[in-house]
Amino acid sequence: MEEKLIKQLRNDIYKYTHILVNKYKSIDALLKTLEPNHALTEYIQFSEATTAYYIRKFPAATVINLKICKVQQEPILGLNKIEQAFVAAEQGFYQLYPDEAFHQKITKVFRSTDKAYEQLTACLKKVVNT
Amino acid sequence: MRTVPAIIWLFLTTPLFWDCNHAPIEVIPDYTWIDRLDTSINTSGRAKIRFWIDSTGLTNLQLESAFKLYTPHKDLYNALLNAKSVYHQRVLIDDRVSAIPGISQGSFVANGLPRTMILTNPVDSVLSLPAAEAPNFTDATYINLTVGTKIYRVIGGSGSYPTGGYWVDTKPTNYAEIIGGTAVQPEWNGFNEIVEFTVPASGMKVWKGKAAAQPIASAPNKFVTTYSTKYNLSGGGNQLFVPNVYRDFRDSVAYNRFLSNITNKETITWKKN
Repeated sequence: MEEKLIKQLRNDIYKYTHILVNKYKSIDALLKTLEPNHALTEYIQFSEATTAYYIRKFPAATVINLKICKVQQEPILGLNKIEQAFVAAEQGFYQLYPDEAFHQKITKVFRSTDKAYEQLTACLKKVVNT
Repeated sequence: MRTVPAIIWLFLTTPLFWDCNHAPIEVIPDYTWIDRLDTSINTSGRAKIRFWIDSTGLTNLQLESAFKLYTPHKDLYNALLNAKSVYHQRVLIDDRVSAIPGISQGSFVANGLPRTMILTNPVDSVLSLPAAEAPNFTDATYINLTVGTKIYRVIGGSGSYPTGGYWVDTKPTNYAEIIGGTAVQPEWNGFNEIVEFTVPASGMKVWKGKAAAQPIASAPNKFVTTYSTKYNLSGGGNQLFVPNVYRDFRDSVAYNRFLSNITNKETITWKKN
């Protein structure tokens, strides 16, 4: 792979990773306004630990290992676990939501991640094909 | 040549130190490290840690090493306390993970579908396979389950509900089928019960395909990076995804209908090695 493309891919992966991290953090911030129960606490802990992991793992574009990203579909798979965990766990805490609008607000943020995932998928495709 | 004094000879040959096959007798574990844990863990917590070694079978040395990675120590203690099963505990402390049924040797290689929603044909958005779930499949086909078909789901621990999305069409008979075949990380499931659902007269449209490989742990685990280079959950078993519309907890009619078709719940009694 040519150096210019490598640099571009690393920059893009870094950028979209942090966009996703920030979106998940904004969901956590919303959820933290609720009186927590065990299910909610468990989900927030998982989400926070996951986002913290990717902040540590990708502190700068230059440290991103494209080969590992390609083989392990990272950070897509790891970050996507946050939404999977949310979907699996929400049954245990949705009753804490003040109203339906709160739920819609969270759903909207989750759906806004799709674009960043599409971009990351496109980046990793380029790694695969190069 | 000097001779060994009789008293030393007797000492060296006593069965207190060597058995008849000349194998060393097991050394009594050193638990003093538990006393040195930080003050975030109280006396009953320390007793619990000792219990995990003596009764649950966690390895003393692995526990000691794992605690060194955490500050404060209660972070690991709480994780172990809330672990879904002993397999989850072992993955948390890197304790004989290769012996957990279903965990394969070899680095993790992702083989799931891209994270893109898969639409039904004709398009019905509520029945589509959500983008977030697509990477859990290596292939996915939209099928209709006919009346009377039985499907199964293994649950256990907090956050694991009988109304969840993932099911299998053959009743599991061992942990390896679940953990390895359907690539279920030990942190996701306590593997305590098998739920049976019988498809009602209306039938049920689901997604069926092979489970994608998974890493054995996810990001919050301290060993996640090492694990991904050494182990994997190979997947490859058939799994079903039941769209949320059939089991939606916000829709009491759908939710209760789904619950009413749960025809059996069975406690798993397979021994966890």
